[in-house]
Amino acid sequence: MNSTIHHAPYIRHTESSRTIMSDAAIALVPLYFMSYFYYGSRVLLVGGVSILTCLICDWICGYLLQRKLNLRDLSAAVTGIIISMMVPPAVPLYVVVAADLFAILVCKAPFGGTGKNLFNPAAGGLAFATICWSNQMFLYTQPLQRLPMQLDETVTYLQGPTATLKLGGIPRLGLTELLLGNFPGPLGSTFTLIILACLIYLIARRAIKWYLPVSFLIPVAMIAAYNHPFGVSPLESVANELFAGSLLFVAVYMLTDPATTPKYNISRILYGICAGILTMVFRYISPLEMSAVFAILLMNALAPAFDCFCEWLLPKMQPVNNETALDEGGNQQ
Amino acid sequence: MIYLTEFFSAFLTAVMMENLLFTRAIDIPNLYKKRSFQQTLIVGALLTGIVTVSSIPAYFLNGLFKSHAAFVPYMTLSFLLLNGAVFLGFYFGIRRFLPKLFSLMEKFLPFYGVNCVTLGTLLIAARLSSGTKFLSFFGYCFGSGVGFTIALLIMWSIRQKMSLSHTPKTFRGLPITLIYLGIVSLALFGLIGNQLPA
Amino acid sequence: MNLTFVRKYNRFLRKTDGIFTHNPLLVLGLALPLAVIPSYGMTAMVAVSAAMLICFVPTVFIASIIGKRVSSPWRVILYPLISCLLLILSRSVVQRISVLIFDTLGVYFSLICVNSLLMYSVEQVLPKKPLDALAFALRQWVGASLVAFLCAVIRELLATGSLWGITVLKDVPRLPVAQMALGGFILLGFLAAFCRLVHRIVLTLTLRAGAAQNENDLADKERSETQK
Repeated sequence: MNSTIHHAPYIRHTESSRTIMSDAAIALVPLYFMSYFYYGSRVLLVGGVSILTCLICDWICGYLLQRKLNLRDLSAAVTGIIISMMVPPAVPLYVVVAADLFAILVCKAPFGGTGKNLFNPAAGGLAFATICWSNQMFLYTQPLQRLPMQLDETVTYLQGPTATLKLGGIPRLGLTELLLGNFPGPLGSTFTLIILACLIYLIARRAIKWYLPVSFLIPVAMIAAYNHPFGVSPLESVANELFAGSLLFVAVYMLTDPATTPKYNISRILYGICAGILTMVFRYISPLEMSAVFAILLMNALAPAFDCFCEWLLPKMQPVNNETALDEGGNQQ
Repeated sequence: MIYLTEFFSAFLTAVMMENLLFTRAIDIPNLYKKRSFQQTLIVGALLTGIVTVSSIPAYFLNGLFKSHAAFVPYMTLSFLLLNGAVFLGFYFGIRRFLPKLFSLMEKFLPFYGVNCVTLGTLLIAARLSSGTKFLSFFGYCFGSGVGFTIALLIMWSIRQKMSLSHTPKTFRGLPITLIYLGIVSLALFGLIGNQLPA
Repeated sequence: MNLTFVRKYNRFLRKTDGIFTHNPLLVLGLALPLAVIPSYGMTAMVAVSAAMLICFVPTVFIASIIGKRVSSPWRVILYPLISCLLLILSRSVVQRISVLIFDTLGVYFSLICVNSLLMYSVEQVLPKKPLDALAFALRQWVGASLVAFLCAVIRELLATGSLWGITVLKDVPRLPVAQMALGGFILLGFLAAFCRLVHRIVLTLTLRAGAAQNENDLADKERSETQK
């Protein structure tokens, strides 16, 4: 009788880090299509350079750390896509490469590589690029104008609505413009309709939990509605704050990174709420236009504290059940 | 109302924008020692207490020194003596009124009394342009202590996660601590933009 | 790699304890404010090193002479006080380095008198003899200064392309973040990791040399037994 020996594990889950990463990558690719429609093929150059730099750097670091090359690990590609989405389409390529290198070499590799990072590498890389080249990171171009592959004098740089919001002004953009991302902005993080569709896909695939982006966006909306400028209705203020920048993109792709979020449901909700409040605090105090990225970095540092708080809180919520069980089986004492 | 605004603006500046550890890189001895949550809070409370209590006489000393320009080099000496006196008051007070806490911390208590944080806060607050108003000075000193406590809590929190994962041997311990201090410092730089603190 | 070389290397490490082993900045993590912020440029670093030499080394020497005669809470006030008095003396020396040095250093010059390296060293030299303590303090100072100088050179070159105000690299792109606190932290972290890597490589080679020596000894022993 022939019986083939199978090796462990015998219980296989359909989900693995590869499927989660490929879900995130699938949810990010439609944004490239929209961006190509608006800005031309330079978008693909920036995206390609970013993805390749991240992948090669990650493979080299993985080889140095584990002494073997793991070419199937494509999580760095997601980092590269996210970084390329949040930079302006007319950004010089060295800025993107520097952000990628910082993301992998400083935020990911020293902590142990994939899955062991404490901070979101994309957030770290973007924060680094914003601090180093704060002029080039906020010079956008008008959409629906083809950008040349090599940047030259024909490219006119504009300020985005986030700069107007930072100065206390009111960007008069209609809801259609905001939802379609038809204003000067980053390469791919302002296309609200597509991001919402990708959010539904990710929730349906159970790659992310629905309450994490929702608990982030609710405090932002409430603070934006409460602090609406004079002459602007609260709803318009909320729409401006949520859709005029990269906030929704950050809430869907960067806040929900599985390696850096807390593990318990209660701590995740608290984490989202605190991240939302911190983002608005950064928006009002900071001179830079990009605030959600810095708030995410700071919240990543505090994520284990939320887990510890939850571990302290959960046993206190349970004794009510334990006491009734002991009364029924009182002889067990 | 104006007084509250002065106090809170100085407090928030000290806590978030000019955080002692992340923006100014001012440390205490035994910064990297493994502490539990309660120990972190006790150390932070001690530092905040000493700095806040020393800020009251320091404000008047500052006024005295600024009015006579020749004595400025001696400002450090006088703040150090003031800090030492306040620390001795705390030391003997804790020994008398909180003997349990004292027995736990006897060996390390002196290091949390006179160190870069306590002296540095007084010196930085004296250099502030708004240091001539008492509530700004007091608010800044109190905020520095609270900000340093928050910095210690962030370090505790990160340490909880790092203890569960497998860091490469080359980076274990001090190197990864310095790297994550740098990354949190990067996050806080988002608040102050490109302005370097003095 | 043979064991004689390994023994000489270990003897060298023992003599330079504080410079290459137990370096105060890279291994013990002390004196963070002096390593991260003032090491943005060479002028500031030279000033801080000079002030440390005048304040730190004599204070540690005096601490070893006084020893345990002063009890714990008073020690923490006495030695920073001595260091502060020496700091006032060192101001005249430091002023010759640059006119604006006190404005650029700001509060960090005054923090030399209470820095964590001083507090640590003062506790360590209590049981030592004065001459040993002096050697210990000098080694710690050399170790800290070497690392801080290296940081200062790298950061100044990356951020401004110049050394001591003289432009050295003209066409290289500048990285202003190197002169901020975060640049200092990350550079120190990577330097510490690099030193640890070098140490681990030397340890591995030492072990291999020991293993090779063991095999040679075993082979010699077998040969001598078969000859008998």
